[in-house]
Amino acid sequence: MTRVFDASIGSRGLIQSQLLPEAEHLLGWGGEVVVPTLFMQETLSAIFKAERRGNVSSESADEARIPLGGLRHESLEPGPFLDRAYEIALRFRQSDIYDAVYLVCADDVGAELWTCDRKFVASFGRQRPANPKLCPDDV
Amino acid sequence: MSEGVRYGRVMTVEEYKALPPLTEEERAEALRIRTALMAGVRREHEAFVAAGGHVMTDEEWDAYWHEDDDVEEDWGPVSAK
Repeated sequence: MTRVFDASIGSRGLIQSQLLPEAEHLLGWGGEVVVPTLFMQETLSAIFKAERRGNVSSESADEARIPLGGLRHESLEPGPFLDRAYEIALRFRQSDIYDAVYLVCADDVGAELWTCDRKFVASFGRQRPANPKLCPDDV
Repeated sequence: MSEGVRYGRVMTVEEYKALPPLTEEERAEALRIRTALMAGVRREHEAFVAAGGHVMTDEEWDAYWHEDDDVEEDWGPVSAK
């Protein structure tokens, strides 16, 4: 099984003030991981926000950035996912299209999508598909 | 091992799907690297907590992650414009 992680997994697995053991465990998994390039940008932005807010020290933010670049994820161009992500975000009245980009990416490569974003998962209501998997509930 | 081909560059979906499956050696190497990196995160976390750092609860994190969302207000009736 291949896995896709979204930025909420990156944030809760790497940022000290947000750390969740189950997200750490997912990031340390030894199988194949695929992410749209958005993952790196969004997770870095979350690290930046945590440092800007003073939730973590600059040293701690630096420590979070080190593994982000070394986790050996396959990075995919997000372009082919955007139109379908837009449609999903509109249909389920989501706050933006980013989460749906990860979902389309996972579906396209036949992977599990893992997220910590409870609101995104809840947005599907009774039409929740097999993806996404919610961390920690579905771990 | 195909390091440099599988990792470190952005691929299209088609390029990714054309890759051969990970070998056992590649899986073991990925696990070794990730385990080492995440052990560093865990060590830093223990120091963070020992220094009195606050770790968000799930409820705090949910609110923090979505604090800029104003989607409920945005998703009003469709304008007739």
